[in-house]
Amino acid sequence: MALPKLAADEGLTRAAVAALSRQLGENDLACRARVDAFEAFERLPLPAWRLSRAGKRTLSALDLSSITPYAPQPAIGSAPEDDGAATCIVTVDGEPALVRLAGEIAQQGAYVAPLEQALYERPELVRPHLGSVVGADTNRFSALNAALRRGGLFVHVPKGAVLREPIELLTIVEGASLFPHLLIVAEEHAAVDVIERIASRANPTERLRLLCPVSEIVAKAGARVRYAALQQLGDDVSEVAIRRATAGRDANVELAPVVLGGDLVRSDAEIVLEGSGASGRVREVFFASGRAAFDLSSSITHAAPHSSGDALVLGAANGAGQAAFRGMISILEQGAGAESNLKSRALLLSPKAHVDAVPGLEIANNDVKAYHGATVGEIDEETLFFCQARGIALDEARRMIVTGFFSPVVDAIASPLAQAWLHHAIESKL
Amino acid sequence: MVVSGLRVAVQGLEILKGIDLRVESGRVHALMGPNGSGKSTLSFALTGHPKYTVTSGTAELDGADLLALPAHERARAGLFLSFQYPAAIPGVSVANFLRSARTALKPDQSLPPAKFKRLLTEKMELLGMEPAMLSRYVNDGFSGGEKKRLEMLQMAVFEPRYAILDETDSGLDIDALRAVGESVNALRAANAETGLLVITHYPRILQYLRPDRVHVMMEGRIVKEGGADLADLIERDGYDPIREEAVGGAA
Repeated sequence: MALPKLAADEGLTRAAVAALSRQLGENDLACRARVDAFEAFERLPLPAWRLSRAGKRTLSALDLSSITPYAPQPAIGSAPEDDGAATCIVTVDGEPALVRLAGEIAQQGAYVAPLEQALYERPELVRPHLGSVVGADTNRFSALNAALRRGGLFVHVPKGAVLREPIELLTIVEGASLFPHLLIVAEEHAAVDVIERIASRANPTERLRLLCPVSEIVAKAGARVRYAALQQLGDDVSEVAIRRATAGRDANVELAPVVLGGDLVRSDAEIVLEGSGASGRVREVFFASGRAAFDLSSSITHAAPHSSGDALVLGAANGAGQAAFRGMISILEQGAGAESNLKSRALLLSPKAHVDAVPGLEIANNDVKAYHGATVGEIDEETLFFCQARGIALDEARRMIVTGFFSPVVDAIASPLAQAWLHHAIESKL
Repeated sequence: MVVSGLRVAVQGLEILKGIDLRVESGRVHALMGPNGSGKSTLSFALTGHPKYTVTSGTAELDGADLLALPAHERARAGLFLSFQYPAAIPGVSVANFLRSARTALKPDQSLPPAKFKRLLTEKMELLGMEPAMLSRYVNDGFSGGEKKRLEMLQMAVFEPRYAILDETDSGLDIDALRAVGESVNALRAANAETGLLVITHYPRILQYLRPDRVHVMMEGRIVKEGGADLADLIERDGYDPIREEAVGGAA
């Protein structure tokens, strides 16, 4: 199915942004917000690219004027509610291709819908939170997302509601650059798991395909939100992702950015612990292969007393893949009694692969406990020999060791299906 | 298993200077000697560790030319090494590892999961081990004694034709040592055909595991051989009399 293109698809201009807004049927206010964001995009500098060995392969190599965002399709595919099946939303180039809601969504009074539909149906739920965690002017790419925002998902879980089954979101990049926006709002003592898988189909077009997602999570007092973003883009798609969560009093947030594919990838993830007793966990995985270059950062910011943070980052690089990982624990002055730790481990699987791991601590309060550590190394030869001495051939031994290396994060993902998919995706890179 | 004239170098330095050794099926051979005499080098050279270079000599396992095979095929030919320092494999459960290894070792005897589980349970009972170990990661955070018990479990599950127990007694307290010794005896009772080469510099484990034959190694050579009474002699007098005899004989 050929999707209609933007009227002014020959370049990224103010007029193109306004035209997109008109095609989406937005009001003047929404259109103005997009144009403002576009102006911010033009004004803001390119974020620094933090790879030590990147050479010319940096974000400035992305010709943003050549991107092609598509205009919307009017029809939304949907399937009837099915009590037995998990909630699943599939989008292709930002278009909802399937929306299937588990029975518990309605039973619990939760609301799950593609973002544009949600803005139309439930603006009173969406508007107060949209852009409240990741503002349009956060950086050049958040501004670009706000200007060209299309697709994405809105999840609202009301006070006290607990969703047992994870919400699964499949985002497929086909022929266009994508600017999806995910917004998860968990009211007091609500609980939800969201697992997003991000993939692309090969496309012979010479044009740049950029995925530029923004994900915002609001976890109010006592809420529990776990969000995993499992990215396995092809090497002809680049990605700049911004994902941030705020956790209220005694809330519990887990962010799991998993970066397995893409060409140039920048991923910034942050949990801000805003309420006392809040806790945040980061479980991050990356695997840079081929010529991929990843610039990744994860932060936990302690902005309230007695908050706790825990980050575990597991990465690997083979081929000529390279990655820089920055982990940051920030404990602000009001973070007395905070406890936080950050560990990263990376495996180098080929002589040309390279990983920089830079853990950081910023502490403005003395009454805290913080720990960080980072290692980068090769597969231990004695472990390989141990496996060989048990009859396991070298290639299989490497596969087993690398799969095991990632399993502390992979096995903690809330969906067995997503776990199997991840194990397969990792094995296919060896 | 027959080793003849084996010379082995590590990083250009010759450690083994011509080893002749025959390990019989169903028998317990003790390879004794002070620290640094080359005992562990022999076990790594026979099992194919990449850091150990065989410069001359042969090793045959029931007719197969062991030295011509890559490490994993030596294991498939029926040679097992119980490591002095077994490696940890974080993220890989004991159950999965045992299953993968057994499938690799015995591709024509694959067992369905339920039967494999039964085999594991049976062998763990034989060794007095707790089933909880199966879901732990291989050797990850294991105590010294637990690691050696897991080595024994692997030997039980893989049923090798020949097994080298490299300093299986090292680092164990007396209770752990007795447990491991009893484990080996239980395994021998269950699988009488396995030929054992028990490497130790300490005769203590031989109180639990009577050897049929004792070989004493010093400075890369076998300098004395005898029956179980040779181990008793070493227990009583240490290695000095043998060293003097060997040096005297050389002079």
